[in-house]
Amino acid sequence: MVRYKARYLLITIYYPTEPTPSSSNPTLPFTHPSHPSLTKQSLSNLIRDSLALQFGDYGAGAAGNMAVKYFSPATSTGIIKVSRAHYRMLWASLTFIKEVLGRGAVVTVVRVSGTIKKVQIEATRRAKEGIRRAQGVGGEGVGLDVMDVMGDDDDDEGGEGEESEGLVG
Amino acid sequence: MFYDLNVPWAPTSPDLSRTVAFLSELGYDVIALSHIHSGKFPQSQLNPIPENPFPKHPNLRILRRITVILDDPSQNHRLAALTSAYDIVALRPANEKLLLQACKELDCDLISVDLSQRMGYHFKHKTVGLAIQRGVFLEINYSASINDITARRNLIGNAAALIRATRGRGIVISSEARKALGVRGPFDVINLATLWGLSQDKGREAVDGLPRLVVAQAKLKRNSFRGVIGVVVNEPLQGNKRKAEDEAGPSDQLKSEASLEDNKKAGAPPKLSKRARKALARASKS
Repeated sequence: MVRYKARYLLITIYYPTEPTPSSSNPTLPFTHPSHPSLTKQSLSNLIRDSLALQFGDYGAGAAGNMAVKYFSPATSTGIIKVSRAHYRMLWASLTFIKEVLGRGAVVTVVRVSGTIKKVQIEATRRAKEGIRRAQGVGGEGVGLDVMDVMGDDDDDEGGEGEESEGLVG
Repeated sequence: MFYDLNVPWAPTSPDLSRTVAFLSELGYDVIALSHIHSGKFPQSQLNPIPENPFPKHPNLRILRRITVILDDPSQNHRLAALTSAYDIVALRPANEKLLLQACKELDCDLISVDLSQRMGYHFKHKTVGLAIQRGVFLEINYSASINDITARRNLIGNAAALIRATRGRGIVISSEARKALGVRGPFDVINLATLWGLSQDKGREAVDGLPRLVVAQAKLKRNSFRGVIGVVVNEPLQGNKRKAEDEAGPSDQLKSEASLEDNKKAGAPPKLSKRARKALARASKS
């Protein structure tokens, strides 16, 4: 019996047409939080719809065994698991998504890996890099919270995310 | 280094600066703003795109390109005159005959066929092969396929046909995005290319290696004599040694080396690298 081989995709959702939230740092103009109602379940439905639209019943069936393993609306990052044979199909249907819950969005895959661990490491690395960028220019007031967040497993462009979430929601 | 060689230039649109910023965020390093022109050229054609339109992005290199829409075979476009005003000259032929003409003889850097429309003809290897042999590459613009389902269908079919006809060689992929929403990350584009029938490495070449070639060739064409000889203004380098040599003149090179030896004997060490000093020490020991 051959083992089931999977691919894990680390995704980021950008909302490029929306103005930068006033509370967020100007060095990170495209990091918007997603709407809190965008959960793993609803994201999964969204992706399945896109799969069905791009690749029909065949695509929805073949790549439909995907699962959203993690999604954080605060940073708009998530991890998706899909069978290795069909990950390109899934990736393409992610690329063709043009709106998420009514907001114009761009979904990009930033990392593909065979193990979820490497994807987690990459997510953490990117989050830290974002924090460093934010600190680079006028990073006052970010200081302490950032250290808390850094200890965390993944994410967060930190407090800014949570604050602006209130604005959107 | 990722390239997006087609971002339509729209000076009045507020979206443009946003698009450019977003491209930079997604990881593109070089983009070309494209002025799209159809019909006759006025007597004095000036480049409407300013030299450095977005100084806010220091990490982004911005080139200026013109896309000439060819729809009249009898028209003389004076492409040679355009070459000096723009960094890249691209042609968009409207039918098969003009495509052949563009591939065969017209002076340009890129051929960009609108693949989101239904084509009335098939791509022939003979035609597109001519272009690739001359070093003129073909461009696929993906952005139309993101917004519109019909365009997506056409693009997938046409891109697959074009890739088949070129045997996967000489393909450049760019966005032609009028809005920030029409842009995708470089690796997403590579994945799309694999969907159209390019292999993974050729897909990467299409957003990375080949556009670099296009830019380099276009630059050579403009700055050099027949793409062979370039005139370089010779400025003395910062290093002291080089300066001294320059002053001494090339014929005195031996002499200057000798004088270096003298310097060493006199105890005033010339500015040498660590390695060179070590070698000298070893030589004097033995």
